[in-house]
Amino acid sequence: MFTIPLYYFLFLHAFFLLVFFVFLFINISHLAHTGAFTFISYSFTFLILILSVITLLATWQALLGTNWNQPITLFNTEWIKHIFTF
Amino acid sequence: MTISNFIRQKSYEKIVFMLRRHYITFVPTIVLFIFLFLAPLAVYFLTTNLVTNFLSGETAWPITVILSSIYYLSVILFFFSFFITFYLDLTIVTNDRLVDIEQTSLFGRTVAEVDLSEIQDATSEIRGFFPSLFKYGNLTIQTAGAVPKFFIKNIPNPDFVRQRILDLAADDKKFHNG
Repeated sequence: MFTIPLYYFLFLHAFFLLVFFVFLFINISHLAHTGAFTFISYSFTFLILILSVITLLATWQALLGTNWNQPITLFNTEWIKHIFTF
Repeated sequence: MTISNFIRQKSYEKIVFMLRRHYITFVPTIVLFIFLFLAPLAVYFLTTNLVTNFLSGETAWPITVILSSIYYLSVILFFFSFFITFYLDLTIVTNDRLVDIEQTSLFGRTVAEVDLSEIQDATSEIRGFFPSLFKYGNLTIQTAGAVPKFFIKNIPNPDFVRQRILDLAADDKKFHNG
């Protein structure tokens, strides 16, 4: 039986968040570098930041009270034990 | 940094206009974004109504939430990146030159410029239902410079811009010829 604890998915999420914030920074730095700070670009950046915060808050809210130590079975020999019995 | 620093504006130079793509051309991206945002919610509500015990396992819910969070943040990031490539496509016309900045992707940008006195011909084109309705189209500028042809797409009022650029080019030629 091959199991992993549930908190491994938190590591996956943390890694994704790192990539997300790096790309967000690259996008905003493009705006700054090209002198494109206008009302529209400010508004759009603000909208993107608001949507990101709402998504992260909703994720946090939905995951409250989760037991992160419970195991997830990725593979169990019991699943294929009876496949080849005729 | 300002746009003047970015194009290294000369002391005698003044920006006549800055051309970005018409905003209506960004609407398909917004529609796609709304669809990508709503599609998983629709699937979730349909599945919870059709399948009993959906996401009832102790681990199924947190895994679904984490994967959904990654999905939604990816959609937001792609939307922002699309906006950046859309918004940073910019053509700046000064009384001396034309600077065309094309943001091809998040990590790709082409900047080309031509002196207005080198402009030989300009063609504007409005083709299609929406371009005619919202008055946007393409502008092709032929030059005698290193970049023989400038293609500026989906700008508002291309006919007016073409005429204005040709007027500025004529003024600049007069200035250069004394």
